[in-house]
Amino acid sequence: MKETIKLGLVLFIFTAIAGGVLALTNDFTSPIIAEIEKEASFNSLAKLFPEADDFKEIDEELLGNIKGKYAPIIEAHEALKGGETIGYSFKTESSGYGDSPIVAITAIKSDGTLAGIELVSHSETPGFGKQMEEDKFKDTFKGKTTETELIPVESPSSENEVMLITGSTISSKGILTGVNAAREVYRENFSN
Amino acid sequence: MKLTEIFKNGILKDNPVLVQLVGLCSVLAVTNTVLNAASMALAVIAVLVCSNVVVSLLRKVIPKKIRIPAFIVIIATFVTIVEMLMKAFAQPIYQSLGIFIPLIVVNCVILARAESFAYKNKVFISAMDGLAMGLGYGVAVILLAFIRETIGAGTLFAGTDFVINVFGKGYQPIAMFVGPSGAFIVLGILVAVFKNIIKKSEEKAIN
Repeated sequence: MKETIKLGLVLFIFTAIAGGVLALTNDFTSPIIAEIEKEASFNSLAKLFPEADDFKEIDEELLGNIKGKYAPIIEAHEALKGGETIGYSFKTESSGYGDSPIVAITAIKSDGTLAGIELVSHSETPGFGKQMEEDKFKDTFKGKTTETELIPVESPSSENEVMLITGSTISSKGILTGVNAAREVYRENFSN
Repeated sequence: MKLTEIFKNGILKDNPVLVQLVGLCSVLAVTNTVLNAASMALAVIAVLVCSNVVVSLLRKVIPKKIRIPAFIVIIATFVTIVEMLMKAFAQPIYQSLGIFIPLIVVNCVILARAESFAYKNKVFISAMDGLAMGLGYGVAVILLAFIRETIGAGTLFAGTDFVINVFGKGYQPIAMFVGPSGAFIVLGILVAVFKNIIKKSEEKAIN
């Protein structure tokens, strides 16, 4: 009995010291890590809104309501320039052809046109759905309308048409699920 | 025990990967690029040396009956420290190694060295043993990654500023070598070649 207590105590001292050391390390590294993560998520936002000087998360309660209604939405930010809103960005998650969902950011300018899209992560097939990473695909979203549903076509021309990647209809439609959800949310909550 | 012997054991005779075949899970996973393998090797070396030093320092304090949990606490502490530091100062590498950094805790190389060496030897020599075993691990994973990256991706040192397209731009990579099956095949061949070399050198020593 006595020995058991002694052993337990020794092990307790070990874990307590280990905990203390880890707490110190965490104290030192966690602000740096938080800074890096914030920068990483701002980097893709900054690509979509190059003129913005700050990004603000939208009101938590509103985001909760939006998420309840539109399943693909996971985050929403307001892009600011000198304190004025110049647009909104929506991070969405929708299923494509790959195992993990397509996570993308859709940026919408205050004038109601699309500023563009950026991909955060996906697992679409290389050579097929993966082509959505390329600028020639992403660029077809720029300047498109938010008024009506966007549809994928092989050679987009009108203001609600974006590029359909040949042979990857499911991937093309998958990313559009997210973009269209972002578009609806914008129209419903943020357009004037 | 002499230093040269310790290093000879760690890198050649008792090489943790190529001879003892321990800790293979991470070996197979991180050797798709040389950069990943080298970063993983550095993390393993850091943890091995630190845990060996601390275990050796505390070898008279740790009661024999609870030595294994004590070792695990020490190892897990260092792994977590390495993980936090990597996350803060080498984010891209941390992301490409992912889960395999925390999994160093259960890499049997480290627990085995604590149990069979550091718990019985003085501090300096234990640190050297950690370094030698870590180098043995490093040599093996970098060699493996070198072969897999060259054949499987046609590049070397991808992810650094010194990327080389080994066979020129037109090379069609054999993707299997980047996958797990390729890892097993290359590792098998490496182990065979390594055993053969060691056997020959031993025969030579006898004659």
